[in-house]
Amino acid sequence: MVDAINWDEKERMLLDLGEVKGCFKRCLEPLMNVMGDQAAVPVQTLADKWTMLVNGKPWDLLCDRIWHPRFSPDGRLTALVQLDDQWALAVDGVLSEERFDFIWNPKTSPDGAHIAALVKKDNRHTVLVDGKTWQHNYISIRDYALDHQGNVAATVQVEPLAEADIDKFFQGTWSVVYNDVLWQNKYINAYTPVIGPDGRTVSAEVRTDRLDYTIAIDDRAWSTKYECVWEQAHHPKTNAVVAPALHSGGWSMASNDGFIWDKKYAQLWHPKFSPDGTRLAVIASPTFGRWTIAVDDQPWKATFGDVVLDPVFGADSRHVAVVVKDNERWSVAVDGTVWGDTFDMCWDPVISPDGATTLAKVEKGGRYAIAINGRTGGQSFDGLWSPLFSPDKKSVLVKCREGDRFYTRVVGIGELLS
Amino acid sequence: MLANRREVADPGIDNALKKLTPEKIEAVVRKVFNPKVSARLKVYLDTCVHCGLCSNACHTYNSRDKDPRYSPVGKVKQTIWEIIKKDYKVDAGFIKLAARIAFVECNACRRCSMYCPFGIDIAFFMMTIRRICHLLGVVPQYLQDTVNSHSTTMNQMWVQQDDWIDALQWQEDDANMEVAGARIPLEVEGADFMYSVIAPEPKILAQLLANMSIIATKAGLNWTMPATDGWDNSNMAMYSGDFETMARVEKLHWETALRLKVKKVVMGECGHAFRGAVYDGPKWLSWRKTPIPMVHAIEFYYDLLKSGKIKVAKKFAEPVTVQDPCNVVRGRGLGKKLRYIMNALCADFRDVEPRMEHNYCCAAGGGVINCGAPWKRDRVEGNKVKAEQIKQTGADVIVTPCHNCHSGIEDIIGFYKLKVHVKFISEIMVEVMEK
Repeated sequence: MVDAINWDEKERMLLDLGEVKGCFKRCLEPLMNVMGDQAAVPVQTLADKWTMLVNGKPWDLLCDRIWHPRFSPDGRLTALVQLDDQWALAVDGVLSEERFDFIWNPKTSPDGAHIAALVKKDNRHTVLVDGKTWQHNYISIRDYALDHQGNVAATVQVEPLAEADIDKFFQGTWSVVYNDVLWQNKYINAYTPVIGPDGRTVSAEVRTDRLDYTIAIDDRAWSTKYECVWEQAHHPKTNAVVAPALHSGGWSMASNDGFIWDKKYAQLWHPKFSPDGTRLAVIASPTFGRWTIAVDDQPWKATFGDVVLDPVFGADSRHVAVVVKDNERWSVAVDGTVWGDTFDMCWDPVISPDGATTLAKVEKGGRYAIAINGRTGGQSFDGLWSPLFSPDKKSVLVKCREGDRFYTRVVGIGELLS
Repeated sequence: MLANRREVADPGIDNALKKLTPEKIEAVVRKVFNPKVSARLKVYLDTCVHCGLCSNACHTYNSRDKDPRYSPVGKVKQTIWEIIKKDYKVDAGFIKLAARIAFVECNACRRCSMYCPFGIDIAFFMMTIRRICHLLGVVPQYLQDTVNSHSTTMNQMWVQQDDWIDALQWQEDDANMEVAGARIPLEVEGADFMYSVIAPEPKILAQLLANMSIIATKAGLNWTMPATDGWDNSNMAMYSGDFETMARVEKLHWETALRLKVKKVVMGECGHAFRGAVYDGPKWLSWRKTPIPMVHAIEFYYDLLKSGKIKVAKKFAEPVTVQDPCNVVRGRGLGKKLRYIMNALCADFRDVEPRMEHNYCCAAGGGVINCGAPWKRDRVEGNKVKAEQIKQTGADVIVTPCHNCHSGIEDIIGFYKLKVHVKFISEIMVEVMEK
């Protein structure tokens, strides 16, 4: 992905919306792709049809409605479109073969090679993945996961439930389906299916009794039940599954063998393994009302009063960065040290391959900028999309909007800070 | 046990009682009453001097000829004190009565706390009984069904994901017919605010979504709504005592707002949802306050009118009164802002007496209306004072900035044959604003 970027091209204007917006009735929220070579805008034509305008050129496809446009990581532009009261997935202006009564919640695999969405046909739900729908359909599908190989796991309702039938509900009406093959057990509730790194193991949060929650792996629930559990994580090498679990008023990290951390927390969620699997970072509340990151059961000394978002590991697994909010101001903390400056909003940080530099998109006073190790320079923009480091770590790919113009620039870190 | 109380069949209670044993009941009660688990419970129990001054606060007590069994202190006496008196050894018959008192005869409206010389949160006692009942599996059928919906769909009315989005798009089209260019922007990252509603809006009151679209479009606001679960901020699990499900719903709601990178959440016209999202949910999750600010529709409309972003073309002419929702007026102090809105929109606003934080509950809140049809008669009979209060205003219309209040007062109007219509603020605002 980064390899495909022309790092020698210092500036490229992709779109001047001012030149073309007079041709359309409405232009909605623009977006740019990861590599910075496409800028797209949903537009309504003067004939009341909708299409996507990409680098100034409209798709040939004209629709009655278009929504949820997103670039996949490999640069393909997806959108959910309606034509003649039927719905379809459009990829780079080409429609999926099948039409549906509805389509929603599209997802792409981490490299963008696979695209999936939930679809409804004849009042039943199923999954569309890489242009093909599953053979089976279900009363309802809610959570689903798509992995790097195009595998899909989903939580599905497998038993009809009459109004207010609380007895049947507690017998279990939900399960998990993996690549169109249904688990045999039924659960009261099933949440957040996750596909392991091997592409074969599937786990989910399950409610096995009125007051019992645990994790099921390939349809086998952990023997220990908890008062509550949150979303689990798979170890990237061993495939072992861990999850935050509540017992006797305290949260800790659990595995199939019970608790694996010693400390009890007021709250724990969103576990994340480092890329090499040697470290486990979790959003933690060590005491009521204070938040931080706990790495391998060691909470950072710095705590924050409002919220801490998902931990982000650097590629070398050594560094953890995270968006934090304290006293109504947003910032970024890296390895337990918070940046000096605060912002109106911060986006997920990016750690350079050598771990020396962390940057993040930030917002201040209605303008967007790139903060580098906590500092912002004089450059700010009307719109900004996720920045990328160059392979030599000296430059940043800046995808931005200035007025009606959309640019991609390769900017040296020193220049960004000036 | 139920002397002078109408016998009501509720499978959620009756069937569950058959499965209880004295040992199971005692174990659960002891667990909940453990002072290490609930210091708050112990403090309240040690503080109460049994003076009974809370009695006159309660709409059920006042509506039932001041029968002491319906006073707040009477409800505590029949439940919490009985448990202590019997050294935690209570039977299934007791649980049946306790469930009725806690789920149906108390709205957790907290008016009684204002009459308590010590400010004891007497409703907390009733919530404690509800927690015991949940742990024993004794919950009114329809309330439990609502909680089952929350735990499964993350909304309270079994709304499917596609139906939610479809309702938004359909209402966007309707709004467009009223105001050109009206939108319900979905999944717009970085919008100024996320608008969250409760499930009756897409399910049965979809025009309220169009109202928001019209108002936000005319005011020129930068907003969004999620196309994923997490859009419903209501929380009947909070009232059934299923705090684990309550927390799951609130966690997803706030994480949805955080995912969308909005700076605040504006919520629609609902009261208990505000309590769940701002107080009870965050507290269970270990947030001292909400991770980003939330404003109720009353504050939102007040700001739009005060700033002139929404201008009134011609005020609503019919005589109008108002219902102060307990959770945002008594609980949040929005009574004055509500009256600013009423006077800005209506030419003939007739206030209620008592009013603002002293107002009577609608008797639907606190999860009581969700106990369903079996309990409807008890609910409306328990709020005769509300019917009298509305009648005294002489208004033809009552504005209820809360879904529970809206439904509950409609039931009261029907039962007591009042000639009054119920409206939300947004219905009047859209009718009178410059478009």
